[in-house]
Amino acid sequence: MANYNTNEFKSGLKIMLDGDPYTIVENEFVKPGKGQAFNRVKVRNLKTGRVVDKTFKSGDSVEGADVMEVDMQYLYSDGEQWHFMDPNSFEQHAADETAVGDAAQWLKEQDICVVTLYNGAPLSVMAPNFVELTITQSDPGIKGDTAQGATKPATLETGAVVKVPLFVEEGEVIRIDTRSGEYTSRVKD
Amino acid sequence: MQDWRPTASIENIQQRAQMMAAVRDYFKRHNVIEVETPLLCARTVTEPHIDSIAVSTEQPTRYLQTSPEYAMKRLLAAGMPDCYQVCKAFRQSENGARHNTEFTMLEWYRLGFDLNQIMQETTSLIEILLGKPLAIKTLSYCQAIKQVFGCELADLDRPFLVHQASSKGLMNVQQLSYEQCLDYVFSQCVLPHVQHDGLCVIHGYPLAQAALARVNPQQADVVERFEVFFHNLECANGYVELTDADQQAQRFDKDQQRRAKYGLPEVESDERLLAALDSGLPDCAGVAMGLDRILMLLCATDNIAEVLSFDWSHA
Repeated sequence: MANYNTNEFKSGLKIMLDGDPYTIVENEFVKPGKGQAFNRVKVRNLKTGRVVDKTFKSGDSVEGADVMEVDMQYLYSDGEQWHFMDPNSFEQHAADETAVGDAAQWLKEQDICVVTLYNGAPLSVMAPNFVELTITQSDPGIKGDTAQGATKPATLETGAVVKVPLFVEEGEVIRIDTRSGEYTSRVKD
Repeated sequence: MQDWRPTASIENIQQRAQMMAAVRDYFKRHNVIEVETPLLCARTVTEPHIDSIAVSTEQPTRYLQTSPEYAMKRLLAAGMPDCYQVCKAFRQSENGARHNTEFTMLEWYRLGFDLNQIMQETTSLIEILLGKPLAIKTLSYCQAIKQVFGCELADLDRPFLVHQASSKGLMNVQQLSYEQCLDYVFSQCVLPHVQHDGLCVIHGYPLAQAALARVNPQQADVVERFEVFFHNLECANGYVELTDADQQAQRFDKDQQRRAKYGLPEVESDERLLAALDSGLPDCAGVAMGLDRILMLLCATDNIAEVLSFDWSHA
């Protein structure tokens, strides 16, 4: 992997720090008039998601991380691994539970996700911002209970449980914002 | 599509014209004469942390000036009275929210001024340019350290500095010299904690950061150098000037040694400046002020691109 000099730093650049892949979130050039110049960066650990501040002496170089974000189609899960395919190369990748993380509950076969590859293997999976899923189980709303904003739990085809308004029924397709995990609307055919 | 538009608003460009007029008006009223010196010179600064841009010509390499200081001192040694210059200065690889490789510098010299007089003139000029009186806090480098760490400069040993710098996330600290560590800790751990709502003047820098300042006659390990900050933004740097040619030659040598140690390109010392000092530079004080930074304050922006017609990436 190429090395990057601090003057190539910019947000989105993927670098290795202490053996982990990071992405640069923010890069600031700091230089007291007569003193040594530094680059102060905010970096996000791509494994843990934690953001930390680091400072490099300007002119230092840092090893680049072999990290790529690729749009991939979710194929299926065999219970242990989630399988994805790059629609351009038809190359398939299997991601484990750690990599899929919270995205697992929103993944429906055929959906396009962003898979982050580190050294060629899936490091993390980001579900689409919005997904449309069928309700497989939800008790009917109790008649007369019309209090504003009243909700009930609904189990979706992927196994996820979300809160839905009382008027939404079993068998309907709903749209969910995966970033907040909230119901946004019903989907009419 | 080509991004051809200015990075500064038309209002900010007009604001710059007004600021320039105010600078010239100030010096005219105080009988300080405007001068011009070459931007492309045969020699350049030897300071290790200032990187000059070398330009190839049919002659041996020339350098875009990082400051007009050397040339203006040659004028003073030749009998020039109080003088100032507004010019472009260039520093390789300095780009960011507060830096642009090509920037506008105001440099002026006052004969016979002592440290207090030149600090006073600098802060009052900033007040004039910003069009309002400002609270001014003045403290020495050592006092600033005492305020923040509760100890003397001499107590800051390398392990302490390394610890402070590492806790701020500085990588590869072990590769830095004591001076580089101190510099980092002072700018990142001390300065932000002594700022207030107004100008902050730091004076009395340690000998290792002397640049071209005179040693304090009362205190051999401190130099008569000061810097002015506004909310942590460095606006001006000034000295009671070193006039002794031998000491200047020693500092050049010291710079050369540090450049070699840090693996920086060799630059020859300016023998014409040394000759001028040798023939006699009158006692004087001088200041360099970053006018783009002053304009940032005037236009209330924290991004230098917004006060430059075309910043480095659009030039």
